[in-house]
Amino acid sequence: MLRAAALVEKMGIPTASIIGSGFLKQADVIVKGLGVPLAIGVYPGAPMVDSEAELRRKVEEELAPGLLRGLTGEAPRETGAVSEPAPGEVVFRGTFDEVQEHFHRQLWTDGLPVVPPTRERVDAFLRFTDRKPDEVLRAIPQEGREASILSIAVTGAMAGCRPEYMPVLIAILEAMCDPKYRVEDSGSTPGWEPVVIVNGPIVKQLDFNYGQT
Amino acid sequence: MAGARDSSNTEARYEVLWPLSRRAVREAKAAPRLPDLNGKTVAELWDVIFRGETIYPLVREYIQARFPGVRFVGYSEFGNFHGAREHEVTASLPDKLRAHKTDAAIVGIGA
Repeated sequence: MLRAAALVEKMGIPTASIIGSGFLKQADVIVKGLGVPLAIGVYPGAPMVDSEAELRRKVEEELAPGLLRGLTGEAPRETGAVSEPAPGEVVFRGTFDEVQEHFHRQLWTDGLPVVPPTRERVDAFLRFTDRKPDEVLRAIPQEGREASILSIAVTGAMAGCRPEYMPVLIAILEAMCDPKYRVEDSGSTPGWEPVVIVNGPIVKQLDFNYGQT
Repeated sequence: MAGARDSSNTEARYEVLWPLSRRAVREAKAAPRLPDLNGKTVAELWDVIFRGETIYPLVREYIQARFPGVRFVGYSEFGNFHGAREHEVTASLPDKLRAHKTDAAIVGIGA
């Protein structure tokens, strides 16, 4: 729903959005991806589980005052566009553990260990495609960033893929970038996770672990 | 594993690339706020979930108590911008907001 708020805000119409307190971190990430600061009114907890009386109290004491401040008070702060490295730039030097720690602190991982994406390893992935590294498949809505051939290679390296998986990784991203896939809806409250099925001769060519002996 | 080695330490060291990619969104500023809502029109946009049918009237009541001259345009005027018809409904919002001479909007509900 914050996409709608951003659209309205970019029309020059001030908005205030209703967000449950459990979703504030998610809202913060989404707002950064939308590229416009948004005012938020917070509903403490989740309205679905509150009694009528409790809901009324929370709206009157917390949510409605927050929404009113959002419309009449100071404009929400800028999302703060900061200078960023160029794609393919070396951004850190360290041991395996130091790389893990740095990436974790930068929120560049989901908490699991990653394979350090060195230039040599990423180049190995790029050798398995004839597409140019700076080719952009689509701007992925959540973070408002480009999905490029280079970013696929870097992410594949971090995830522990073998370089020869690169054509499969590109195919996966092409599917996810199809508007029909609606990647912008992933991470919604009901939740869903993509499942990738790799089929055909490539399964043997890539030496996937499959079947029975 | 490829990577530059520190001669004073046998442990491998790695030069790692930036794992993100270029931002593709043009940054915009927030719209100017409205200190006085009297005489203004506030649109309600609702994604038809999380008890908005109860919440929106309460919010309306709260704001009207402080700004008696405010006018609200109910969420039913704009349609549900969540779900399968999101793109279609969202595309229609600018014209509808202009038609109602909207000055501000309350958007919900993310919970």
